[in-house]
Amino acid sequence: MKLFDKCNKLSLRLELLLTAIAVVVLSCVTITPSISVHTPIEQVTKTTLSQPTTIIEPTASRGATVQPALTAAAQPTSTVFVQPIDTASAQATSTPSNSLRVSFIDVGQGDAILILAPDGKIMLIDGGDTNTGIVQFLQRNNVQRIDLMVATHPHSDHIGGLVQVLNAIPVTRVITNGQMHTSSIYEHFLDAIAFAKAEYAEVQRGDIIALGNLSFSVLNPTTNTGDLNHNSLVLRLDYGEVSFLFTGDADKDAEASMISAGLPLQVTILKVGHHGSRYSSSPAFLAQVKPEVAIYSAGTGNLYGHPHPETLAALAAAGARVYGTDVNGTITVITDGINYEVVTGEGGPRAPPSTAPTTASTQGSLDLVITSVTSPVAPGGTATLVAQTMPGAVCTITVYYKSGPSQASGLEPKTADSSGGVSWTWKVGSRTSLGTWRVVVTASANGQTITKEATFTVAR
Amino acid sequence: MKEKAVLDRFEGDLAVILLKDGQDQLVVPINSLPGGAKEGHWLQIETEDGQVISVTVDEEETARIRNRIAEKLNRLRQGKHLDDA
Repeated sequence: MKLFDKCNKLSLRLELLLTAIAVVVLSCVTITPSISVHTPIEQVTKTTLSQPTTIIEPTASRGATVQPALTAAAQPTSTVFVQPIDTASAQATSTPSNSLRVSFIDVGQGDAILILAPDGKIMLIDGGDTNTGIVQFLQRNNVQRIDLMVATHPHSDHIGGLVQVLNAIPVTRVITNGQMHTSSIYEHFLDAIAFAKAEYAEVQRGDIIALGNLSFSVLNPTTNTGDLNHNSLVLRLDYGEVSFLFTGDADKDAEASMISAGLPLQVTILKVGHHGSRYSSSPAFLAQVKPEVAIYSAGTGNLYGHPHPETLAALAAAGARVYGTDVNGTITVITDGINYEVVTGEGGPRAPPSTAPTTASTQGSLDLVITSVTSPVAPGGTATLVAQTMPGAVCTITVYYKSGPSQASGLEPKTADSSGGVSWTWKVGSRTSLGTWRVVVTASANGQTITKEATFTVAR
Repeated sequence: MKEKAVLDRFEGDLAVILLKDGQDQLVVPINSLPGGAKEGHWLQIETEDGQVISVTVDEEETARIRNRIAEKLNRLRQGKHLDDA
């Protein structure tokens, strides 16, 4: 029996998933002459897998950076404030301060975390999938080098973007868990490390990774064989009284292993494991971590249902304030080691989930209204969606059928005309599953992005 | 059309397959894959009008690519890439 027939029987018609192929990504990257910013390669003590050791990064400035005074009375407070992160991080990359900035970057379905250390060192943990905008994010934020790149594990939604970063800007050192994959993206990752002449090291539980004056404790994995998610690198960072746990896609078994090893798990800020899926974030683990803030990274309308409702419920039950890149865009935690602030959105404030208005009209600038969409449409027919937004806004549309986004032509990104109008017309495939399907439209201008949804029905 | 692809990962009941040298992705239900298909397996995928007709595991190609990647990883571990002119 042909697979196609079998799937029809199971009502599981397969449709090719579109992955936007922004062929322009690499070709449009402008590499700033980097002599002045390319730090010399520093000595690193390489680890061996059998003997966890400490990676020590000698740095002339060790001790020169002022660590914030630790006052027991000071309690972390949280505010959402309005400074555009573009400006904020540009300052941070050029001027040493006592602020640590950790950005959970909106790269759609994937993870990418940028850490700007108080002494100006720059670290990137994962880079999202291929062509999801990490290089452009770094450019917009004036990040011209990466001192330390960490790949938590070799799945494409974590290392795809790292390949492009390695090919675009100087990277001094790359750290992985040492687990091999046989995918094309993983091979490109290794090729890109070699091409970039970045130092390469592998770590596991018990190791310490140094970034200037910051130290990251490696809590997972203990081995590099077996399940790739399970072996994700899990890093703990303590900066004064404010602490972070970066978990990659570590699963519940990995969480159980960290609990039974008696590792210090309680932190202020938790990067929620595996995009908020139900295969991570066990209640037992959350009871140990006790996060004040939990941040997951997931793409709007992703095929996997991330974040799963039970995970969001568990995080809420654990008392965490939850942020997600699908709802909040890029999320940045700024801390002096005593207090911390959570800033959402790259170009300005965006409401956290609890206080949402989803329109930006309150800011008097960017708005987006879906005016009309053809419905119903017969398979093989043509649909049109019309929307109204700010003139010149860059707009995207994604049509989600049963097994994923449509790749029909006509759904390319467009720029709103001088009156703010934008429309798309596309053909509904003759084999498209009948049903009511989501359409997600975004408009971006002035560093802000706004997302609206509609549905339309495919029926005979 | 037949093409080479690699099984990148499983996400719940779905499998994520990388096409066209990793530039494209195909997401299919795991039960549409041959039994025993694992993360990292190279596949032969036959499509017709955007529909998947058949998927087979290519063990030989998987072994060939695994060897090639293992060599590249060893070069990095030994720091040989830093010596290249």
